[in-house]
Amino acid sequence: MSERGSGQVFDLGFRRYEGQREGRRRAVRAVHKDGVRTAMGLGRGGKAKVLPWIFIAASAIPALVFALVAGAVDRLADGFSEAADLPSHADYYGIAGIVLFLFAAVVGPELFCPDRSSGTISLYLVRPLRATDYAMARWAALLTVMVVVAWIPQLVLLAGLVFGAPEPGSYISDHWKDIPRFLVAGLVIAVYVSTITSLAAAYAKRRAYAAAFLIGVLIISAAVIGGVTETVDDGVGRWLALLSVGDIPIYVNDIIFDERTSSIEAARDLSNAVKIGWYLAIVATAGAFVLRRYRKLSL
Amino acid sequence: MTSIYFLSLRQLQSRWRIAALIGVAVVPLVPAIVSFAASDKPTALELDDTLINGLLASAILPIIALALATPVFGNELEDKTLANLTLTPLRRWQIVAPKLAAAVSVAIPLIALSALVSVFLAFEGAELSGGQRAAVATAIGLAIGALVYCAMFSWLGLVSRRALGVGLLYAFVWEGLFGTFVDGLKYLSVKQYALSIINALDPARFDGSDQTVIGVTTAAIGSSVVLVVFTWLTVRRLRRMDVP
Amino acid sequence: MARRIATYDLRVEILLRAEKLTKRYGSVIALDEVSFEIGGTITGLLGPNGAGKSTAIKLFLGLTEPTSGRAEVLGQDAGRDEQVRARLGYMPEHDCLPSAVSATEFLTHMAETSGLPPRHARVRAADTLRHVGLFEERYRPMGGYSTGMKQRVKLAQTLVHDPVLVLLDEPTAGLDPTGREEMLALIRKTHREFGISLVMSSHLMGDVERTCERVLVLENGSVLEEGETSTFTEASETLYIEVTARRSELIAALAARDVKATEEGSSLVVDSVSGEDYDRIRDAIVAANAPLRRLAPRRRTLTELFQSETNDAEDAEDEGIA
Repeated sequence: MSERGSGQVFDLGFRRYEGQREGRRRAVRAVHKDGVRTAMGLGRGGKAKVLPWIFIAASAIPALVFALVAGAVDRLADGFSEAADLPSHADYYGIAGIVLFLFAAVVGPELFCPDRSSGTISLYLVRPLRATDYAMARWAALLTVMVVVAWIPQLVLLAGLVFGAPEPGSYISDHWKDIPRFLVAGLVIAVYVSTITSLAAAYAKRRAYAAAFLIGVLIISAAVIGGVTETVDDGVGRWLALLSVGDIPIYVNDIIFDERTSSIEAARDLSNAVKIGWYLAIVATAGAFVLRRYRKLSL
Repeated sequence: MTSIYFLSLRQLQSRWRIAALIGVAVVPLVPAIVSFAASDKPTALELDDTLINGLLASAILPIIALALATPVFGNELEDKTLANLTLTPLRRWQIVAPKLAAAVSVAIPLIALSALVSVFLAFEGAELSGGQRAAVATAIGLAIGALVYCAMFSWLGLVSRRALGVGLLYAFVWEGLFGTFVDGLKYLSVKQYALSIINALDPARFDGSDQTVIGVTTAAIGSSVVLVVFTWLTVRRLRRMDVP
Repeated sequence: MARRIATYDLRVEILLRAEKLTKRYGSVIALDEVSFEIGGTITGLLGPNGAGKSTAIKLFLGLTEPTSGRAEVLGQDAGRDEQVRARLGYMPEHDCLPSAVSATEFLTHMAETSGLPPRHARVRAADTLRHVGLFEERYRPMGGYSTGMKQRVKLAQTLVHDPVLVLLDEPTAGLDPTGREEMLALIRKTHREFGISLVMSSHLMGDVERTCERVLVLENGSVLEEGETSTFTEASETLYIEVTARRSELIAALAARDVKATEEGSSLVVDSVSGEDYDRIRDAIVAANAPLRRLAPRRRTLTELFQSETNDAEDAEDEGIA
């Protein structure tokens, strides 16, 4: 047997493990890591990677379009882009937020449902972590992915705007505020979609049911509330605006950017406190129900 | 063939799915009822925009079609029971046709009734004339749309384990989001075919709109092509795949 | 490399303790006030379907709450104390493997969820898969594995973090005779070479008899019998006597010496043979002048023992009804 540098003799094969055991902390991190890998199709076949990357591309395409349009307008009429209200960082989630929702609805249940239906969950529950730790780690994995998916197009847009501007330096000094704003807005929308997706996925028996439920609620509530708030009195309409599931994080986005980009006009009459309070209430309630589901999980 | 039809029909009628679908089909009644209550009555064009286009064609139609057509083969793939069907002494198209018919025969009544009642009520509530014609036109246009979507999504359910995800991408990102940026996509959109047929059947309501709609002949040809191609693809796939 | 010896004797330690353990599912009683202790060895939980074996395992792991009583693992309540779970392994009876990932990926992940740092987890995953006999296949997605391979991964998953105690729920379910033999050999090897204690449930007496050192017979939620596997099989011996001629003379000769023989097919069977009986049988064969073809002892198997136990119970019930 040859000895190498360190002078160790390798005994191939199963033996006792004398190394470190990091317990609950490592277990939670492992479930989180596995969740991210599942969502992005890493360590799985090539087919599993297709859908996540189509979604990321789909969310970045509008950003590219915005950047190109802004650059083109800038070149055609010098300084025109300042006056014209071209879509920018503030408008982004109002327009492409649907892609984030769809992405979460399709990918998110993948992190919760198969573990329950294939019985893998019982292997997790006999390891040094609690059922609620598991649920939170999965939620955090979805959040990690969603934050990245929410930020990528904004960064693409930023790059496009900076390099499309006649003087990139002055563009940044004029618009630096957009950067922290879109980072926070991206986090706000990512937390929202991750939490409500986790809620649907925690209770649905099949992945498809969770996805169908989420998309159904999102699209239908937007269409109904969008139509209804235009016909009813504003006094009622502003409260109805709170029922459009997909628009709730957009209201917060609008507060962050101090602009109105939400498609539901009736929401302008609501105070910021109500909008933020409603957002937090929904996220907290959904999160509490996810934990409750896993605390009472019966096998 | 009839037994496959009835079998598929029964598989689609799980209590939860039917309850959820009826719930979805009832949703368009909300804006219809609101138009009775509103002091500021919506115009025919507004109704076309919010109710017919925005809600019925863009949301209710694809959701019903997805929920009914993707599980036609998808559930059997997931449960690994597709072999039971492919082992019957039937030609492959004789399996596809009744299964598609089953999905369609639930989808069409749902979407047509939903459109008929909600559009008629909305027009009545808004004190507009021509409600009957608009309701019938919408029901027919969406029924054709449902047929085409079902053919497409049944195929998707057979080829992809993530049929619902891909279907959602198609309906809401391709037709919905990208359709608003790239006008030309309306030639490649089942929703636009359905809208075009609705407008052709009830042109009066559409006067004065700046919305562009593809020609009804193009829409009819497009619908037929999509229907035939996807049905053929489904048959071909069933013939060639390794049945689990 | 010298194999490290465990610092304490696993054989005397009480690893599992049930104290008046009761579990009800609605009106069905899965376990009825059972009390027992299991030490560091291979223990078989033997009983027919529905005897409460799976329920007992789940209670020990904390996967389900007892209706009353206590289930302790290594002196702890595994449902409340997640620390203790870092040293346990569980192989469920049902499917539990995700189909899209490979065995290597899955085992590495499972090792990490047991608290091992990633670099150790990878090495342990590879070593454990080799231990259970999974080689090239380990890089393929597990959806395409045969039942035998899946059972091996399920076993590997219990060992990857080097547990003190492993609970196996029907580890041979669905395996063909060869696969069953290999699985049982792996279980024995795991205990013999690495000192890991195992508890396996089975409804097959043969499995338990060949593998386990101790056995606990459960039926209808109660402990029917408990002890060393050897005491179950060595209590009495059955002797087969086969002669080519003069059978009736031999029976008479045996009867004259107070040995009761019954005819079973072509041979004579003498039950409960011990001590002096052997000499008497020898004398009888000589006296009868019977041409002896075969004289073989047959140990009583757990199978027979178990069947006679349950038959007695059924008989008693029948009488009760009558």
